Amino acid sequence: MIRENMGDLDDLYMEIILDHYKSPRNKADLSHIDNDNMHENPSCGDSLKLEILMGDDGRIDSVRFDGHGCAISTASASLMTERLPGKTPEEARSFIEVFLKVLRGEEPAERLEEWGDLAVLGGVVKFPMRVKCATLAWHALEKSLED
Amino acid sequence: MTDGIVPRTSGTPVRPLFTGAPATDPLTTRPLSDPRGPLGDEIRNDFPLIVSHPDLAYLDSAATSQKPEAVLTAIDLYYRQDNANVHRSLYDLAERSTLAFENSRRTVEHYLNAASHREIIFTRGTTEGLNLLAWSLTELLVKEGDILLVSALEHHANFVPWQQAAFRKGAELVLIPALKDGTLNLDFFRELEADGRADRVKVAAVAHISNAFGTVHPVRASSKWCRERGIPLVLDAAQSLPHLPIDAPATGADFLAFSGHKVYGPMGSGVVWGREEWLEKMPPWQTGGEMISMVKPEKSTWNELPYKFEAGTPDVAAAVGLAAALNWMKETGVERLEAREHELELYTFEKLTAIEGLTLYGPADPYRRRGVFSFNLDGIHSHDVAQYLDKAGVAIRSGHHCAQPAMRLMGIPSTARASLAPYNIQADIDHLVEGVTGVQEYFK
Repeated sequence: MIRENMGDLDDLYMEIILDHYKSPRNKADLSHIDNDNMHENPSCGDSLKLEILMGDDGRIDSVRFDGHGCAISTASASLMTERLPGKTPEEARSFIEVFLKVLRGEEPAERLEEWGDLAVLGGVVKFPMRVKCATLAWHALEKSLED
Repeated sequence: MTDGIVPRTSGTPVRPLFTGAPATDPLTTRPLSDPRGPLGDEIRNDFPLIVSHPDLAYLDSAATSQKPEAVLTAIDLYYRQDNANVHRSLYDLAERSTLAFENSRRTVEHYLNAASHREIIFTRGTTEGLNLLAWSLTELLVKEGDILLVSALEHHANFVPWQQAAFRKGAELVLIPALKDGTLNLDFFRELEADGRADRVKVAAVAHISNAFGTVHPVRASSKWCRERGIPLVLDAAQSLPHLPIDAPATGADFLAFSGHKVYGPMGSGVVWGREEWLEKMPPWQTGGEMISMVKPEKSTWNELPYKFEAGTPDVAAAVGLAAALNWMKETGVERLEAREHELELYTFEKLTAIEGLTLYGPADPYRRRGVFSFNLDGIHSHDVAQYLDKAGVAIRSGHHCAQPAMRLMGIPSTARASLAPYNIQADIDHLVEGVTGVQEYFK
């Protein structure tokens, strides 16, 4: 008995999200990084590691991730890593702050629109149980920038 | 009698059932003795929520069951007609409330075939019951260097309290290892004997049915080993009480804890059954009103059983609701409920194992499992499975099911879990299967 209207579901699993889930960008085998640096979402068992490479100019050169997660958390990590190269750590921090505020419902989803494809993650706000999935990579990035 | 599961004695054999004997033993048959015969789909009419959600396939009863009208009515009537504090006042209303509470205790006592009402302690649920037992038993028995034995398949409620008690006491937490099919490796008892650790085991705790994989644990094998050594065995019956008729003393265990809300009763209700000879010796867990006999500035003495373990004003309505649930099960016929559910379990097992790309966890023998179907779909995360199924009108759980050690052991972060109750129908399973096919297509 699949309900007639699967519209809501498509709001969550938009084409871009499914694409990044099936072919994640910047996903790599990071088994050389210690598992102590694994970030976990204890409610669902998802886990994620990040590797940030800094350029000589003090800006982020590239970010790669490894781990196991649902469509939302994988796509969110993939979309996030695409937007990071060229940012200073300071810019990355404000980028994280805005994203987390939108996902917490404290800022309108439109705030994400200037970031292209990443804006699709604003739709997750309508699925409160999945917000943690979307923010896992961002909290991992926040933590990694502190270290 | 095996494993404390009450056997059927007459009538036509309907199907084999796991006896709880060691895994190599042959399965036995249990005939349905109830003259009313099998239970039909009309059982759904007893559940207002099921009636008011005709399009919902509720397959999350291992998390919490729906409640029959009889339970809702009992709680409502208690508050409308009998509400007063218990065990204190002399007026008529207080007496009625006390009677309602103590009659509920008698209902539980008889349901579990306990030796006396003194063996029945009301709690908020399995978790509280297991915390009570872990604290009190380790206070009584455990010192530095001793061993607390639990299984690798436990729900966190039957794991963390023992782990923390081990930390407090400087004791060692030892896990009975699990096999890949979600059963326990009971040869481990021999290993404990061989390396001498058996003598250091002071308490053992194990789930009757695994909430993560549905494995039925052969309690008798464990309880026999424990009894021979005078080790008290605690049984987490949260998942077994809803599915099997249980004779508590016959399990051979010394304690059993369960939640009311998983056996059609209200949330916030639960029971610890314990053998009186143990409970008498054990120190109280929580202290305060009701559980005392005499209080002086220099010392206090404790009330008699079971009140020694019931500090403060109890949730009387929850106890009344829990008793109403057990009475509903008895009146409907515990074995009829079980038989109906097991038919559906076999149907579910057959349907799910036929799906390509679906891995079903737990025993490959459908007669050695109950209630729970934990699975993963190739390349699709359990959260995405559950999210899709929700839109298809099918309610299941996804995640680690509060059993992270068990999940880690299986090498999986999470599973999707469908769990059954007698109000489920074949159509619910068909919707689940349709949904699974749909989600495979969606994420292809």
